[in-house]
Amino acid sequence: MNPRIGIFTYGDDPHGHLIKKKVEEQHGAWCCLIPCDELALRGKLTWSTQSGDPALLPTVDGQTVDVKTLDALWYRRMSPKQILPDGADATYHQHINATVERVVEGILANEFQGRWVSHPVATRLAENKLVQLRAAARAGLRIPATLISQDPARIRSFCSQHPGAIIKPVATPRGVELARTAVVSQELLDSDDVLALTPAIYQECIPGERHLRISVFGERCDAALIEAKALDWRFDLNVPFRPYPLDGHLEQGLRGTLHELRLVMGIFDVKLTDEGEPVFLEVNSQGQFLFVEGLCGIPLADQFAAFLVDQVLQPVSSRQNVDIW
Amino acid sequence: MKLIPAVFFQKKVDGIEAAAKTPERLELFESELREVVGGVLRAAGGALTGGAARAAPTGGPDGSGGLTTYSGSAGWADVMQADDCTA
Repeated sequence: MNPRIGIFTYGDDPHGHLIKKKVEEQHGAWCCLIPCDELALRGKLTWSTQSGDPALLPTVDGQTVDVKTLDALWYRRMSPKQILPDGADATYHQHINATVERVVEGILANEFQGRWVSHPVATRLAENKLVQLRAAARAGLRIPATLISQDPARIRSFCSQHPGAIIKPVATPRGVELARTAVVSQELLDSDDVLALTPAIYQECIPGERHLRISVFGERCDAALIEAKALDWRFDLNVPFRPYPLDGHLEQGLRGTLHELRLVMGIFDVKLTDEGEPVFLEVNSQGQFLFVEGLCGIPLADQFAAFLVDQVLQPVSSRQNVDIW
Repeated sequence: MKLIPAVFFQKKVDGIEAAAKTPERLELFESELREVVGGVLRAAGGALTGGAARAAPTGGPDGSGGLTTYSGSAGWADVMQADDCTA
C-alpha cells in the first residue's frame, strides 16, 4: 500500500507544496497539505469519542484527511493565528484561534499513530535557544560562552569578559521585524532601562568568515559553506555558497544534538573559527532549506522528500512519545 | 522615546542598511519553483490563497520604505522567513 503522508504548514508555504509534489511524483506516495492557518476558513475539523469515527482535518485541495490514516506527518509550521472567512466578527478572533489550536492539538495527540517529523512537543522545546545550547554541548559540540539576561550589571560584566560580544534575539516570531546579530555597543551597555526591558542573548563573538548551514535529515548531513564577513550572513546572500564536506566528528555531534532534542531533522547554523574549529550557534528544528539548494545546488528538496517517505518505513519508536504528550 | 528591546535598540544604533539585492541565481531558482508549484497553488487555493490577511509585509509599515525586514516575508526560497515552527 502506498505511504500516506501529511504536511502540516501554512497554506502558501513553498517548502510544503514543493515537497508534496516530489513525494507524489518521485515516490508514488499519497500526500496532503493541511493548511494550519486556514483551518477556520476551510472548516470541517471533526473529532468524536466514537471509536469508528474519523478524526478530520481539512486539506489545501478542499478535501479532508482522517488523521488516523496517515503514516507520517511533517509538522513544519503551526499557526497561532487563523485567517477568518468573510463576515466573521474579528472581535472573536482570539477565541477562534485558541479553539482551533486546541482542537488540532487534541486530534493529533489522540489520533495520529504514525511517524512525526518531528514531534510537536520536541519541536517546541528545541526552538528554545537555552535548551538547544545545552543539548549541543551534551552532544560534544563547542558552544559560545553565552549569557541570556535582562540584568544590566550581569550583561556589562559578561561583555567586559568577552570583548566584541554580540547580541541576538531569543525568538523570532513570524511577521515581526527582524533584528540581526550585532556587536554590543557601549551605547546599549549604558542604557539600563533598555537592557532591563527584556532578556536577549549575549554571546562570545566567534571570529571568522566561514559559516555553515547544515541540513540534517535523519542520518544524512549536507552542509553549505558560506563565506561572509558579516556576523549575520542572512541579510546579504551575494556571497560564496558551496557544498562543504563534513568530518565524522562534527556529523556525530549534529546527530547527537538532534537525539538529545528528540528531533528527527534540524537545520544547523555553525561557524568555523579561523583555525577551522566548528562552533554550534543554533539549530532550527523546522528551518528553511530551499534557498541553500538555490544558491549552491545541493538537491535538498529531493533528499528531504526521500527522507520523508523513508520515515514511513521507520518504527514509530517510543522515543517520539514525549512524556508530556 | 518609548523603551524598545535591546536587540532593536542596537539595530537603531547601527542604522538601517539598504536591503541587499537577491542573488540572480536565487531569483532564477525561485522562478523555476513558481513554475513547478505555482499551478498547484492556484488550483488548490484559488480565492483562499493570497490576499491581505495572508500576505506578510516585505516593506515597512512604519514608513521605513521597505528597509525594515520582517520575518515571514513572501519569498519562495526565503531565508528571512522565521525558522521557528510554533512562534
